Formats: sequence, structure tokens, C-alpha cells
Amino acid sequence: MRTTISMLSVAALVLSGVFTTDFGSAWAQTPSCDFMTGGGFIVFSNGTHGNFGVGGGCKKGSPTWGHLEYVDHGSGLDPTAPTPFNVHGTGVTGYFFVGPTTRDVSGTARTNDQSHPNVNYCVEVSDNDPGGPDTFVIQLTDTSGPFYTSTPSTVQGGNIEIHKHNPSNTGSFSSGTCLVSGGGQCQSQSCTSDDQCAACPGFFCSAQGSCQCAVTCTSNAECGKNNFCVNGCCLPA
Amino acid sequence: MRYTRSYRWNVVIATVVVACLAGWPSAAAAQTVMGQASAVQATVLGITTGLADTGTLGGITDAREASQITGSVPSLLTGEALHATTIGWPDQVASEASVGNLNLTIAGSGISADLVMARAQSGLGSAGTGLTNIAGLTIGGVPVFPTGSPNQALSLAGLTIVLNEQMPAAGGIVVNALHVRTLDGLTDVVIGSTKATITSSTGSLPSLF
Repeated sequence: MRTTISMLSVAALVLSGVFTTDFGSAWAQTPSCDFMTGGGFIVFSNGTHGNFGVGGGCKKGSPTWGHLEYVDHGSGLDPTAPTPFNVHGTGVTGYFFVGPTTRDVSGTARTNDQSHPNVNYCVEVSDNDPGGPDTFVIQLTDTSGPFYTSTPSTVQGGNIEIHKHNPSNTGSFSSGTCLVSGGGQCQSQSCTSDDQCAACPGFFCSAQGSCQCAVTCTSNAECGKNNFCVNGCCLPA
Repeated sequence: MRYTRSYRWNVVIATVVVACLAGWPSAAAAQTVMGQASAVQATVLGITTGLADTGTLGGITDAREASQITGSVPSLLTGEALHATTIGWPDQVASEASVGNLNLTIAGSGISADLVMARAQSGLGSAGTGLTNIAGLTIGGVPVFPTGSPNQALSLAGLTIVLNEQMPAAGGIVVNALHVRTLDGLTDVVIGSTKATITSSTGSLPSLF
């Protein structure tokens, strides 16, 4: 009988909202899923802009909340793309915890590049303000692998915000990350001098004749103070 | 016999306690949240057009979004990478909206911006906060640099222009990044419109524990 009463008491406490802790997050290493939202633009080395609006998160049990809109006004990163190069997200397939201030969101998208009309995208963002600039990187992949990875990544106008866990976030983060590590297209770019790797900040021309990241990483924390992990490579702010 | 009766009373009391607590309005369930965001809200001659409009937040466990790769209101404006979100929590609401590469022509004047973004956030029991980002703004071809202060008003012939418009609302705030109206009131355009409010009806409830 005492056991029954004890159980009823616990039930009462739970129902009254005294225990509002998410047991999953309290007992596991991975934090509870959350939301990320952002809008703004990055500026390419030739001065053109990449405008974006992005969202990601776990809502109602799966990491399928979110969207992506991206317009490249002439970076030249995709030689076959028209200007402007439009990428319109059609679905979210993953939402990843990369670090305390960094999230990845992956999904499917349509583009206006007839050579790559349907792609998978991976967006990696960092919410670093007020201590540093927010960052945004988008990588596009088709059946042959990554063909577009934006650099540099500093958000020049706009904002990235990682929001806290919401009761609707009943799902979990996707495992791993979606960004191809080691800089994607930067990693495989052939070169004979460091200048030829200039489009990939943080990379140098190795003795093997390919651009290599000087310091690889998976999160900002691995890059030390005032540095950021972009495309799997540590870059100065 | 006596013990049996005692146990039965215990069970009855415990059941009543559980039933009462289950019916007791929890703190989370008693919050009323309102959130909405839209990249563009344009009214011309009484007809309103919304671009990338989230609609109204459904409650503390809701999260709504809307986006468009490009958007336009014929003869009035174009923009791209339109984005809007509104998210509710038991203790706060956050809404945000942005438009890139804005080109607006109103009453013969051109207004353009690289980015227009509004954010509104309200926490339970605290005043709402508003933030806007406006980059590369030109009005009539002249660069304009927002001060960052709320409700920065600009004068232009035939137009009322307000940057970082912030209006208190019950339990929160409405933030419009860029609000342009013709003096005759026939055209009213808001770029980056966000609302976030949260109120509680449990403030006077006694604590159970």
C-alpha cells in the first residue's frame, strides 16, 4: 500500500509540473534539441554577396523543422551557375549539434543551375555574438560529391541565433555533422603555390600539390580563442 | 477491520490529491503567447499582401516558419532570401524576419537595402526587446545610416519612414525594421515585421509546494 501511495505521490508531482526536467537531456551527454534561425549575408572575396535565410530544429519528434533560401550574386564558386545563383530548400533532413554555438542543418534543394538542378545542402552556422562575428557556410552536394562550399564565412549583415530547447523539441539531434570535413572542394584543389589556395582561407599548398588545411577541426572550441572552425579548418576571426 | 478501513481512506485521499493536481493548471499551460513574423507586409489601396508570413503562433509548444527565395509586390518592391520564424516557449516568445536585396519604389522614391532584419523577443514578466539590422540602406539614391535608436523617423517628400520601429504591446513588443507610408495613407509597407508577447494568468495562484 505504501508503495502505491508513493507512486501516486510521484505521479502527482509530475502532473503538477514540479518535475519539468527533460530526463533525456539530464541523463545523456547530448543536450536537448533546440532551434536555430538566421538571416543575412556573407561577402565573397570579389565583393559580391551571398544572401541567406535559414532555420533548423527538432519539432514534433524529428529534425525536420527549418528552411533555406540562398542567393549567390557572383562568387564564381560554381562555374556553371547563373548569376544570381538561387538555392531554394525543399526539405530538411538533419539538424546537428556541432558545438555549443555551432549547428548544422541539412536538406534537399532546387537550384537554377541546370548542371545541378537538385542538390543536397549543408549549412553550418555559429552564433558567436556578442563575443565575435556569427558565421555561415553553405555546402552543396550532388551525386558526384561537394561542388560548392562558400567562403569566407563571416556574417557581414544580419544575425544567427541559437534558441533554447522548446517543449515541441521532442526529437534528438542528428548524429555527426553534415559538412564534409577538411574543406570539401578546397581539400581536393590542386595547386603549385599557396596563392592558388587563397580562395580557401586557412589552407596552404602542400608538397603533394593539393590545398591542405593548416589546422583541421570539427568545432570552434578546437581552434582556440578568436578563431573559428569553418569548412573543417581553423580560421582567424 | 480497522486497518482495512484505514488503507481504503489512504487510497481515497491519494486519489483525490492526484485528481486535483492533474486538474490544477500548471504554470506552463497558463501562458498566453502571441508571435508572428513576416518578411513583408504591404497594403496598397486597402489590399494587403504578406510575403514569407509565419501566421500566428499556436502556443508555447509551437514553432512556425516561412520563406521564399524571391518575393515581389508588383510595381512596389522586390526582395530575396525572405525568411520569417516565430517560436514559443513556456517563458518566452521570439520572432524574426529578414529580406535581402530589397528594392522598393514608393511615391516615386527608391528605397533599397542589402539586408533588412527585425527581431522581437519577450520574456515572461519582462518588457519585450527589439533588434533590427539594416545594411546598405539608400533612400532616393542617398546612403542612410541607421542610428540604432528605436523609432528613427526620416523625412522624404510624400513619405513617412521609420527605421527600427518599436511599439509596446501587452506582454511584449512589435518590431518593424523598416516602415514606409505615403502621407495619403494609401500605401503602407513594412519590411521585417515581428511580434512577440507573452502573458500569464497564473500570477496569483498559490504555490502548491
